[in-house]
Amino acid sequence: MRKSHLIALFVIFICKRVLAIPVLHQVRPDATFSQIASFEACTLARSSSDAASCNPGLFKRDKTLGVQFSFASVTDGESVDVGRKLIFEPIKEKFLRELFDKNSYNTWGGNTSIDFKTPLFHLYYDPVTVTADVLVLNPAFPEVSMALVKSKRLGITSGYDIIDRNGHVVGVGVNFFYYNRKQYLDAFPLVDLTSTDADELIKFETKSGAAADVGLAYHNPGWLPDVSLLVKNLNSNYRSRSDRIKSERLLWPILLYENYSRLGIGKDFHSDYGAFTVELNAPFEGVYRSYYEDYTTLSGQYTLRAFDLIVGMARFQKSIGIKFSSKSTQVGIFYSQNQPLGDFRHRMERTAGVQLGVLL
Amino acid sequence: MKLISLVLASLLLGSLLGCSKKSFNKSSNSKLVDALNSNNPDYVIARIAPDKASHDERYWLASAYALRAKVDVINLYSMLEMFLFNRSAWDWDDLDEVRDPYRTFLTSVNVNQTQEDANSDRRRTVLARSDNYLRRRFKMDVPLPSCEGVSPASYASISSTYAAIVAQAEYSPGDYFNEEPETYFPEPIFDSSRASTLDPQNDAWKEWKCKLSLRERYIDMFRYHRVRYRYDLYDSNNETSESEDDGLFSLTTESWQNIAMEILWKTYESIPFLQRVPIITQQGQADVTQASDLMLELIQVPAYRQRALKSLLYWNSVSILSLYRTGFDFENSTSVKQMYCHFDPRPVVNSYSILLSRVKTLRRLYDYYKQDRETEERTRRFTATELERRHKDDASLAKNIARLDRSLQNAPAELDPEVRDTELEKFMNKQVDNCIIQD
Repeated sequence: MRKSHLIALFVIFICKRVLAIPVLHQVRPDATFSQIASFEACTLARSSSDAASCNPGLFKRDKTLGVQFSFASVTDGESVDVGRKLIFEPIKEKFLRELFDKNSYNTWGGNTSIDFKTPLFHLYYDPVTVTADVLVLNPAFPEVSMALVKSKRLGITSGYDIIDRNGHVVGVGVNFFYYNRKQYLDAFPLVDLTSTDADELIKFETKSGAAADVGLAYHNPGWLPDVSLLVKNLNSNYRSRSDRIKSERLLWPILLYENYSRLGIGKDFHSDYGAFTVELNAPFEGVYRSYYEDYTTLSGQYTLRAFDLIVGMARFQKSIGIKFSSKSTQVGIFYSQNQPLGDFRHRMERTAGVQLGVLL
Repeated sequence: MKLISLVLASLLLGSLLGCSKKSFNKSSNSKLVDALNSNNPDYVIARIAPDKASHDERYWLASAYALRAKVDVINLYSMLEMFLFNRSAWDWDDLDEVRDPYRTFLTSVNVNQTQEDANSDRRRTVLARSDNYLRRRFKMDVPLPSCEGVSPASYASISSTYAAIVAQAEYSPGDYFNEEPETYFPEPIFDSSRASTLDPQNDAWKEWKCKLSLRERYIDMFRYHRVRYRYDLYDSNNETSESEDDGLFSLTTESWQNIAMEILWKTYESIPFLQRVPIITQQGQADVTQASDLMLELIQVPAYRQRALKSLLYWNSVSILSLYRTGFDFENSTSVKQMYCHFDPRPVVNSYSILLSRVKTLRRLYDYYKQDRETEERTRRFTATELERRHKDDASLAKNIARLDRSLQNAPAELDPEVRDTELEKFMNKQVDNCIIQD
């Protein structure tokens, strides 16, 4: 085969590699307030009350002990309204027109978690995390694309400061977990709903197994930046049939269930007026393979005793959240502007969320 | 320690600068989807050259043509509202109970029905009662014996042989009236070459027993059709006489008049639905043709087959209904007779070539449907009851398809203007006669 043929084949291969539409979510399994409000860019925030969840390498900095129940939900009000009207009410013409033109994409996410925190380990159970995305397309022959994922996890997190000398601290940690995930990532013609029961049409596939997050955090007292490394979902099975992924009518949540990694650079410092953390966090595909340029996040966190203020900013996501903590309760509220489908849909969704925690 | 910090910071910079970047760039296909969603088909049509288009692009282009023809879910809203949208999506799998506007209409029609309609209704009631008795007498609604131990393939083979005779008797009972059922259902002979003894565990024995039990039931079904024929228990819906049906369309021959009456009644019942069918312009019909041609090519591509089949069925059916309704004046139709009297066949007959093309497309879909059914039967295991139901459905559909085939075989590509005008004139004269005399 001539060289030019090989090059042509290579070019065709690259060009043909069309992926499904990537979807970003704020809520993730076992996610805490800091992770949700900062888009997971909290891997250096040592003063945060949920530091170990952000990065197991900060395990020793997490001072919360006891049993904690928490619940979080994120959605834009419109999605809930559209979903309710679409499923539970007769469909009106105006609504149908708007469904394709303005509200073709709708999303919702929520999670729950029970954490048992000790100085040596954190044991947690996440009974249900749900992310739901629905995209309606093509009025000439309507199709519904759905990404519905319901997962649960049972895990244990622990960590250790391998170096703690003259203010230089290097912490490492690991989070082992067992997951069980039911997912439907596919599309179907709307007319199929008239002849087939929804349960038969939306068939969930189940994936389960053991996986791990591994984290490292380095803090130095000088002017040089703090650095974190975090590898998420090692050994997680989130691949599906390639022909399905290669369809642009499908939605595909990313940076959530698959193996990816993060590199954080920033500064964490304390003063009489509270603790400040600034972090630039870059996600990668797999274990530091390709760098997701569009999803690099800049975050800032300010902590003063029982009060946290978190700001997160990425190309497609902006968020601000505040959290109040007492000895027994945590209440976090955040407001975000998201473009969950990135470049694929320029509509900005305004979402609000709440995270409630009860500490026993 | 500073060294560690430097190393890690270098690692970060190195990673960001040295790693390959991954971004999800919106491809042109996403823009096409956006354009379709925002009702901008011209954008899609302008950007895709059909001869160079990929399968995906062809699919979007076909959708754009259908959208431009206004055969889309938004323009068909009022039509779909009757069957789908007046109930929440949650209940769509139970659509039999959804036709409330339709029921309301029928109730009002029954209040204002004419004597002719009332007579027709009485006859229907008598026929229904007689038919109920015969169905019970000949066990028409009792499932066929399942023949335990017989392979699904053998069962299907035995059942389909008998079912074919019953289907023929149903279609043309006059041809099967004179001979006894045994003539058409000979008693099965035990195949002694496959088994030397009458061992109940033997496959040949099981098949023989199965044949006997199935034959008995199919003879009952055969008798049912003969009795219906003998007592003329056919209402207009089941009129199957084909004695004068040579397949050539003539509005004035008796067999076509029967069919026309049946169609008229069905049309009358469907006025609320047909009133909601949008009128597709001539340009729109040309767009539907373009969309259909593109989609027909995609049927051969497995990933698109199901979507192509369903969209073709949907677009072509709407196109036919739209052409058909143009001849009626539903606003002034308060009875079947009035509807018939106000019917103008010219717009429908003038769209003959488009109608023929649509019907031929639907006929092709039937072949693909049949292929898929056969493939499914080869690759999936069905119970005997499921197979029986499938074959019964197929036999019933095949009967109508055979009738359609005969008509299509003789249908000219274009109507001869002279023949067309003569037939139209005959029909319209008859229409005027009927309407003037009876009004």
